[in-house]
Amino acid sequence: MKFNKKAEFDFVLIFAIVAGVMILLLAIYGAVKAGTSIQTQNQAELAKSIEIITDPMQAGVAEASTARIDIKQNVTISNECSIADGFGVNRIAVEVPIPKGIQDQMPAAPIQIPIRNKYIFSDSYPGKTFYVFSKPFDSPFRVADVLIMSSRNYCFINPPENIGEEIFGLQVKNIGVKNSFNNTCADDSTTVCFGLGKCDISVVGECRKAGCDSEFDYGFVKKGEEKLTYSGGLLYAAIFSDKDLYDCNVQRLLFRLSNIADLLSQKSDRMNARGCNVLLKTDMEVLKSLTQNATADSLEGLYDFSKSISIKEDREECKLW
Amino acid sequence: MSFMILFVFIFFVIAGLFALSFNMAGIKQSAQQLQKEATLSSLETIASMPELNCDSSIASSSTLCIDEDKAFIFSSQSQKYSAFWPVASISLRKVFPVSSDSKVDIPCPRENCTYYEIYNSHQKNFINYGTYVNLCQKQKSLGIVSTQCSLARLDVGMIIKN
Repeated sequence: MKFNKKAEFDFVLIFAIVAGVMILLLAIYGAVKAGTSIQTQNQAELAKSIEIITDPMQAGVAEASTARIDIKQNVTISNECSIADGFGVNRIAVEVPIPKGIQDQMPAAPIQIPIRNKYIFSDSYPGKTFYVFSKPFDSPFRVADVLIMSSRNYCFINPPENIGEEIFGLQVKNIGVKNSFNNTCADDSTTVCFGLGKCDISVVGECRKAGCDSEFDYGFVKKGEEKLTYSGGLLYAAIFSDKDLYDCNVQRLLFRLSNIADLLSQKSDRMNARGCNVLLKTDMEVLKSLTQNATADSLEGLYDFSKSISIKEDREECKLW
Repeated sequence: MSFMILFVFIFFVIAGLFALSFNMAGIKQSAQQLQKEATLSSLETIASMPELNCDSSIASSSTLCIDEDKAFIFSSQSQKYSAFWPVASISLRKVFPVSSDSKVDIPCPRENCTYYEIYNSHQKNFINYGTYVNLCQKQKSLGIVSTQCSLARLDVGMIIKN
């Protein structure tokens, strides 16, 4: 019996080529998939790290604190807010710009880390260095420390003295001040005017009553056609944040304020039972009902009411907060 | 030769499976480490929260202080904040002074209670991290307002995802 040795040799060669090509294609596919998984893992770790880094910034008794986050590549930190179950949540994700050639092969959305007990205000400007600082939201008691995060440069033009001193104290490198004495602003800064002016952002103060520390105790921040109402420490949140995110986070803050007012109302009952009389129960009940479903538009009225409660509490022998 | 190619292919598949399993173990370890860091950093944050912290006349930046009245109220409505806490459980246990007759925790809400369950997600597997805090309340006796403090242990349970 004769064997066709030529056909047998060709079959072996063809099989070897086909098997080799399949192995190579599988290896390339596996490498791309593994690279995608590792990148997703890194982004998720970074987003979770942001949550952990910002924990000490809620320092309680401190007036403000600052931190800086350096990342090796240009990223966008996306920040979504939702008001599920009242307390709501911020969802943070780190997005890396994808080269055009492999856009279709990357996952559609990065992993979002939910953060329920923090109030993070930010814009969606990309960068390698993010500055984070916290400011307290008191109304009239401490509700939370709001965290403001940004990589964009800002230039405060002729700010009021108290705001200028605050900026100097924060030592945040991406916020410059321009006045008649000096100019620490970067060239590509987003300008912020106090009073209506030809700036990217205008801060309009509306506090002109006797009890106001300054005109800018409450008012609104104008960004193009958008208007963000603020009071107290929320001024910086309004300047540095997108409107939808700002409104959502303020609603979350006011809901939490409502719950704390309820807690203090119950605390006053316990204190009164021990003989440590506190005459603020009614005020706490009113505050609770005012803020339960409140929005940013309520901030001005809330500011005045909070001031009056704060004056009453100062007179109490047994402090409620 | 075809068998050699086949064996080489199987070798690379097995090597790839080993590499993948090492990588997956690394992800799980990394997630647990991050969760542990989050729990530890939340100890001070939880003690400083307006829902639990002491009033301004007692609070100090150097010591952790929890308001006993607030802790008592929380122990009677612990599920109200269930979606809020970043941990699996929060509890307070008074360690000093306690009655020498009582060797068992008296759970709140009850008079003279010593154990405050502030939050419990009823997670079966958890790891506890704790620290000591002041547990204080304002008292008024004979017209004099004073602060009465005890030493308590604040325990926070870390979320373990299986």
